[in-house]
Amino acid sequence: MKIILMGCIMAYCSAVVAQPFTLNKDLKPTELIMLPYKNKKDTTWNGKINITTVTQTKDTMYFFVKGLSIYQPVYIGVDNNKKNQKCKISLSKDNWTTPDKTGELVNGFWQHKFRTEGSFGIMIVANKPVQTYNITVWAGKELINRKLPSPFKSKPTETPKSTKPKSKLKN
Amino acid sequence: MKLLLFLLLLSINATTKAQAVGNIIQHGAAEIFGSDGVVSAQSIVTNSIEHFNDFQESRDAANDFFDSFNTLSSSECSPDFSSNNVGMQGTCKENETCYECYEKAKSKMDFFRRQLGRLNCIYTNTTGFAKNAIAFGDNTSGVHAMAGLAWQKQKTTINKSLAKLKVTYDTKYTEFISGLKDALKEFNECELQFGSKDWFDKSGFIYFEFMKERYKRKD
Repeated sequence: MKIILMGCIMAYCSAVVAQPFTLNKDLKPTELIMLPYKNKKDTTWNGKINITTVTQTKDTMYFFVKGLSIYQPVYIGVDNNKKNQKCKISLSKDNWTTPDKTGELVNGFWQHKFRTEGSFGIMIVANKPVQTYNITVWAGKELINRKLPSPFKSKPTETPKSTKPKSKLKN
Repeated sequence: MKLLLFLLLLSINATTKAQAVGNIIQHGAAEIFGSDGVVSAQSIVTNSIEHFNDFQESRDAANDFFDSFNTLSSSECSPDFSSNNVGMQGTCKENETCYECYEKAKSKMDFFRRQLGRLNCIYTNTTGFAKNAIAFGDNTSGVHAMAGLAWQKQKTTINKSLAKLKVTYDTKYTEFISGLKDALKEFNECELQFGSKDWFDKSGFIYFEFMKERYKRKD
């Protein structure tokens, strides 16, 4: 039952908000398909991953990742071996023209970590006509085992007066 | 579903594996890591793996590493449970013999608390996304290749989808809130066995009413 409820919500969310909005019919983002990832040393890092190698021949390319939960930690890394080449990276939720996070390769690398519900878009602008780079996206397991603030009153001796329970998931 | 179709049409079959603008190779996890989980030294993604490993190693011992993952968008709704604390009374919680019963009910309650929080944020984010899309379409449709009339039709479709979203929200809200009530009734049973009588009427009911109001759709 729990799985069904969860599945319904996730399916609905990913269906409604699949990628940043656009009216530009020439803009064709590529979906980065997340595959199961198991870390044999530390299962904390189990989840899903996508590693994609891109040879970019146009100034701008678009990608998106979907099917994420707000409770999942997400990592994105962009790297290339040629440190003199630069890429500008933008991450967007609602609209490609108003990115929520921007950055560029420094010494051939850039990374960011966040949480989000549904999907997000990745726009990469290259400064040279032909450029090869890798995009790594990892999404961990939902952090559902992290403690929620208790709705029960605690004994006065257990909770100091100045201590107020805080949400682990608060912004 | 209509909004999905709309977005898919509008983005002109957005999902493509390879484009004319460059070459894209999506590596399989098994291909990268091998059956033994070891990355090949010759792999063209060795640097990527090394960066990801560095990221993993940056996790601190305090175990609060994952708390530092903020939402991608500053305006994105994220479940906030800090105001869910209305301070229910519970004698069972302090009773060792009741621990198992209490933990089982708590696990169920926390599940529905999380789902309600997530549902609420999905609704908030989706309506925000649709409103932004409408504003964007209104502002740009006149100057874009898309005719104004076509945009008006699509806008109607978005609005209909939003109306459907409200129905979906209400259905899921009813399911989750009744699941929460079931969990609170389980607490009541625990209290009945190991603590006090009429726990739900005295304490659980107030919390239930608070939660019912908190996650009820406001528009």
